[in-house]
Amino acid sequence: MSMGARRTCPSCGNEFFGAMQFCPVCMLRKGLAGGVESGEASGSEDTVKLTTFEQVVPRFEHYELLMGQDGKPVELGRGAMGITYKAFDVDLHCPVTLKVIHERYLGDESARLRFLREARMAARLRHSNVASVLHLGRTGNSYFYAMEFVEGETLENLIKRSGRLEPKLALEIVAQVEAGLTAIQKQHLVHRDIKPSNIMVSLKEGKLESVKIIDLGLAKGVAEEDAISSLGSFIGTPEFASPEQFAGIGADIRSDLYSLGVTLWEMLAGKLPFQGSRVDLMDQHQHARPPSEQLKGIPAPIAALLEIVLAKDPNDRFQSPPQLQKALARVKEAIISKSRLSAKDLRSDDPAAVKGPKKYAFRWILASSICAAALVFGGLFFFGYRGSLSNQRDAGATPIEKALRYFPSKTSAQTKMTPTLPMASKTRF
Amino acid sequence: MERDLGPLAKGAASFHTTRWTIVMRAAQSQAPGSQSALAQLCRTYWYPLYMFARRRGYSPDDAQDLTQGFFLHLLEHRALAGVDRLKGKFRSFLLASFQNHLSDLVDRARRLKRGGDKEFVWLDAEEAEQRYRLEPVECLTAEKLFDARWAMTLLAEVLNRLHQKYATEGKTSTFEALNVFLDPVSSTTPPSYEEVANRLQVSTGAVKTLIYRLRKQYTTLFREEVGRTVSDPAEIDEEIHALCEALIASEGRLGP
Repeated sequence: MSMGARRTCPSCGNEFFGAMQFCPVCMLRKGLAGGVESGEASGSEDTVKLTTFEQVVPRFEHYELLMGQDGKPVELGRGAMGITYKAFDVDLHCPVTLKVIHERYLGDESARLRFLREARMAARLRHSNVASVLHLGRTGNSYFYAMEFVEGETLENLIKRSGRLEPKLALEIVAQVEAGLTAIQKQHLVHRDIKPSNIMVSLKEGKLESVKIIDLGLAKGVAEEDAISSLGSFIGTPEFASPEQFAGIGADIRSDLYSLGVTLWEMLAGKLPFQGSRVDLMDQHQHARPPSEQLKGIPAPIAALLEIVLAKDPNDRFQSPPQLQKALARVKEAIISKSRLSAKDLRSDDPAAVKGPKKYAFRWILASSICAAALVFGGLFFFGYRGSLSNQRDAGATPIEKALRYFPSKTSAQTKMTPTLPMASKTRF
Repeated sequence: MERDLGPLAKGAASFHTTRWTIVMRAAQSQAPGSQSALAQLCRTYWYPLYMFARRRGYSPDDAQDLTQGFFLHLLEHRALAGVDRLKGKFRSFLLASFQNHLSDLVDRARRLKRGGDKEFVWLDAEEAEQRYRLEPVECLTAEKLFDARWAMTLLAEVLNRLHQKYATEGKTSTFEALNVFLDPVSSTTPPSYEEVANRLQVSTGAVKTLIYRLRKQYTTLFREEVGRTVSDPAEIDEEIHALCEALIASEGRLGP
């Protein structure tokens, strides 16, 4: 067949073999869900509408929304600002995720600015563990932006399907989210909404292939004043929010690490550490100890890690994602070698702090004795009878429960925060 | 789910619009009619595999033997029994299985005549070779050529089924007069509605209604056919997009 026999389709612009009656690409596209002719045809010339695929499938510039079996666009999620769809880039011929600003915000200038800021913020990030923004566009008075399409499912779905995740898998997921957070921190941003539904995971035959942070809808610059939301209002998802987020004061990357800690907890326990109304959640995240009984059977080094990431005071947490990364490596090492690893060990930068079973046993007994004595005397001195009750409770506790009881119930940071708690607004915006 | 094999006993006709995974599982369980249904599915899509083998350097005789042998292998119950995780696209499954089959044969005895006198899938080798000689093999990899040819095969199958449907209803002349309107934009000389109305002895309003019905039937048959080749109806649109991509990559070099 001679090459000169090709024609260019006036409809889609693709070349096709000249002797063919139809453009095969157009013919294939007519088979898409949106290409099904709709409406009842009658014999009347005026009432028959011969709809075409191009007229039926919603299109945003060169992105076509993929249609589901019900003839509606395939929706991937709904956020505060917009709806995300699965779409197809007809120029590059690849699937994309398209986020379209919600209709109710079309005439809202501040919402429009927030949406644009979200897209621009996300576009600054280029990392294998963060979904990349590819394009920002406008159709009519509506805004949209295209992101890379991430294969897999949300971590939320995975947890729902699996109940509890294996500690090894949970730690691998945390390590990859941490890498994404490192990239976010390098751009001087805070995500502010790290949670399982904003983490995409891809598994192949039970093995982790990739993890990506999605939806930077609530991200902001660390030094940036949140002029769009009212000062002091709560921004985030209450179940995963850090104490400082509830306080409505400057959250930095340590706040994201706290949310990642709650996510890790949910992966391991199959449930959230704190539940209830928003007011309950605020109170629990700021004051309550996580329910250690949910972590029965989880390796103690992970409990020690959780103790740090879920510390109420940001100063008591890891100060950056790389610090968490180092700690993760030590936790894995301790689990493999069956060594003991306390939160104190993890806070120290010395990897030698991981102790072998024998050596540790001796130090643990010594340290425990000193701590117990200090607690008893301190407790008697400061709290009298309350202290003795606490010690009685510890007597029947598991090592993990004991470890988790070191979570501060109230911190200096909170003491500072409490007067500023403006919880009148508890919604995302 | 796909476990409901109730209609299988009704014979091969029941499988005509059934997903390939169900046909395969039915063949595994030796349900009545499943074997011929699978053979029919393979018969429709054998040419892309033949072409793939030729593009890989096999001679016409070898390519024919390999394709025929592969289908025999696939259609044997024992071969299917090993397939415990059927999912995804039939196109991908078939190509991957064929590639494995080729590797296995290289490891064993090459040029072994497969199948003996058993012929589950009839292959017209002469026609295949004539078609292959016209393929733009030098421009595309074997895999790209396979995907693009698969898309063309599927399209041809749908148009053929549409034609047959009209013929069964005694409306061949209607189909021949109207099929150009399936894609009037790309057609070089689409007639006017009035011309078609005169030809069919109906009003122009009736012509529009007939075109509407033709397009609707085309879309329905098309989705039905693609639906046979994926394991989940939700994958139909994705597969159509993938086929479009394959055709675009062929840059219009493939003939009908």
